[in-house]
Amino acid sequence: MNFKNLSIKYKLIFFSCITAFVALSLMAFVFVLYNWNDYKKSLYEDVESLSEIIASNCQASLMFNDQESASEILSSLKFKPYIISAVLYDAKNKQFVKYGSSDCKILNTSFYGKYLYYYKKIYSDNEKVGSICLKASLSQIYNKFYNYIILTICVLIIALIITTFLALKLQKTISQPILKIVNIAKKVYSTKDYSLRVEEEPRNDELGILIKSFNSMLSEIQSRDSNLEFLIYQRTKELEEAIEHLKELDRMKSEFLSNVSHELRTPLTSVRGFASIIKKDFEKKILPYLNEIKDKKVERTSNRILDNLKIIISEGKRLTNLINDVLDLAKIESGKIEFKKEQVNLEEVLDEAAKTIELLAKEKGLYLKKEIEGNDFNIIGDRERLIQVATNLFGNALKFTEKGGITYRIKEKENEVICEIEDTGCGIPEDMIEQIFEKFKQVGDTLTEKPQGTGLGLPICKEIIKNHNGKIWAESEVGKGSKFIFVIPKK
Amino acid sequence: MVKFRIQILTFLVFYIFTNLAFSAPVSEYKIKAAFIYNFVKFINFPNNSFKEFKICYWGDNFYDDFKSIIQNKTIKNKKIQIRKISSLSQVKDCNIIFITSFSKEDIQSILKFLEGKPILTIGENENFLKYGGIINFILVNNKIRFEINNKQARKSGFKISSKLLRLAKRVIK
Repeated sequence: MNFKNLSIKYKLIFFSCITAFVALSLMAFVFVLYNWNDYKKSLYEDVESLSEIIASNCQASLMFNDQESASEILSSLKFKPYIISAVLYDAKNKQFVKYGSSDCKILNTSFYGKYLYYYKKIYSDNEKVGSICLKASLSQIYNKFYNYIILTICVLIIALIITTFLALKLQKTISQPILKIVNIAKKVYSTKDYSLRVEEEPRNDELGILIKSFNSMLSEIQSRDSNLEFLIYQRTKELEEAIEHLKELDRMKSEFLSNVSHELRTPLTSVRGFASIIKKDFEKKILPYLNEIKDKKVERTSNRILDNLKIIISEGKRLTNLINDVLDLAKIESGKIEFKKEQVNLEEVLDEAAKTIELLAKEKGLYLKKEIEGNDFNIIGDRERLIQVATNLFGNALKFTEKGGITYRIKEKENEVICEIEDTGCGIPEDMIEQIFEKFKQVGDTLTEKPQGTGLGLPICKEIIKNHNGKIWAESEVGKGSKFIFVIPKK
Repeated sequence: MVKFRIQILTFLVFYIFTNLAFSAPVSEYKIKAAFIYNFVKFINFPNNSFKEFKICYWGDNFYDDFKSIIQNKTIKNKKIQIRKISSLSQVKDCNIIFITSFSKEDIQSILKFLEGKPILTIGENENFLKYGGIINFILVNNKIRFEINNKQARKSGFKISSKLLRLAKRVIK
C-alpha cells in the first residue's frame, strides 16, 4: 500500500503519531540518560560521604592499631546493603580490616563492571595512616534504572495511545470537510447532478472557504446548465415542431399529388378519348374527301391537322404516363401501396421485361444478350413491381442506345441476387449519376432534346427496390454506355 | 629539580627506615612511643603557647625507642624534645610525662605534685588512673591498649577527642 494513496484521514493520524512518538522518545531518551547519570552520581556521592565517615572514624583505630574497633565501625555498613565489601588498609597497604566477602584491591576510584570501587587514603596531620576501599554494587541503581525505563516506556505507550485517540478525534476537523467535498465531487461527477451541495460549516478557515467556493461553483454550473438545458429543450421542441410540420407538409403534398393526379386523369382521359375519336373520324371520314379535292393547300392543312392531332394524342399519352408515375410515386412515398410478399424468380422477372423490348431492339438493330451466374434467383417480393423496375431499366437502355446492344445479367451471390442491365449507349456524366434517381431529373437538356420520359421512372425504381430492402445504383462512362445494378437480398 | 630529588631521597630513606623499624620485632616501648605520639594528635593542650613539645620520661630509658619513632616529625607544627627527668623540680617545663613502672609511693607522690598542672601524665601501672594519672597503658590479649581518666584530664585542662576515648578500654568520666 502506497503512503501517497492513503486517505488524508490516516495521513493526519500518522503525522500526529509520528511527531508525538519522535518528541516523546527524544524526551524519554534524554530523561533516561539524565536519570542514569543522576543515579550514578547520587550513588557515587553516597559512597563518597560514607567513605568520608568511615575514614574519619577509622583514623584513630588505624593509628592505634585497633582492629576490633575498626571492624566494629565497618560492620555498621550492613545498613547500607549496596556496599558489598569494604577493606581498610594500614599505612603500608596491608589489609587491616575487611568487611564483606569479596575483595577490594583496586587502588583508585572507578566504575568497573557492575560495581563502583571507591578508594580513599586516610591521613592524620598530613601523614598517611591507611586507606579504605569500598565496593558498591550497581544492581540497585540498575534495578532503579530498569524500573525507570519500563515506566518511561509505559508512559510513552500511554501517551501514544492518547495521542492516537486525540489525533483520531482532532483530525476530523480537517479531514471531514475534505472528505465531504470529495464525496460530493465524486457524486456530482458520476450522477451529473449539480444540485448537490456540500454541507456548509460555520468556519472561516481555508476549508470553510473551500467548501463555500465549491458550492458556489456548483451553483454557477447548475444555473449555466439549466439555461443550456432550457435552450436545448426549446430548440428540440422547435425542431420537432418543424419536423412535424414538414412531415405534415410532405404528407399533404403526396395527398395533394395523388388527388390532383387522379382529378387530372379524368378530364385527360376524355381529352385523349375525344382526340382519338377526332383523329379516327378525320382519317377515315374526312381525309379521303379532302384528298379528292387535290388542292395542295387543303392537303397541307389536312396533313398538319393530322400531325397536330397525333401530337395531342401522344402528348396526352405522355401526360397520362406522367400522372400515373406521379401517382405511383406519391402512393409509394406516402406508404399507400402494399407490396406483396410472394416468391419471385428474378430470372423470370428479367426475361419477362426483356420480352417487351425484344421487338423494338430488333427494329433498332440492337442485340439483346442474357448472362447467368448461379442457379437460385428466388427472392421474396412483389413480382409485378419488380417487373416494373426491370421494364423501366430496359426501356431506358433501349431509349439511349443507338448502336451495339443491351446485355442483362443475373448473378447469385451469397445471400443476395444481383441484376445488371448494361447498354452501349451515350452514358451518364459522372456528376449526374447520383441525380438520376431524383425526381424529374433526366440526363440531357429536356428543352432541346425530345423529351422521352417522365423523369420519374428511376425514382420509382429506387422506391420499389428500397421496399425490397435492396439497393440500386448506376455505373457509367460517357460515350461507352451505362450499367444499372440492383441487388435484392434473398430473405 | 634538585629539591625534588632530595625529597625523593629523603622519602626513600624514611620509607626504608620505617620499614626496617617495623619489620623487626617491635619492642613494647616502641609501640608505646608511637601511641604517645598519636595521643597528642587527639588531645587539646590547655596552654598552647609553648614552642617545643617536651616529652619527659621518668624511669626506664625510653629515649632511643622514642627517638626512633619521632625522628624529625613534629606535633602540631612544634618540634619534639625528649628529656629524661628524675626529680620533681624538672617537671615544670614538661608537656607530657611518661612514668614507667615505678613503686606505688613514687607514682602517688609524682601525681600528687602534678595534680592540676597542665601536664599530660601517662603511666603503665594498673592503679595509675586511681592515683590521679590521665592515660594508662594496659595489656589486653597481649596487645597494648590504654585507658583514660577523663575526669582528671578535664581537671588539668585537657580536652580528649571522642575518637580516642572510644578506643580506650576504660574511661573514667
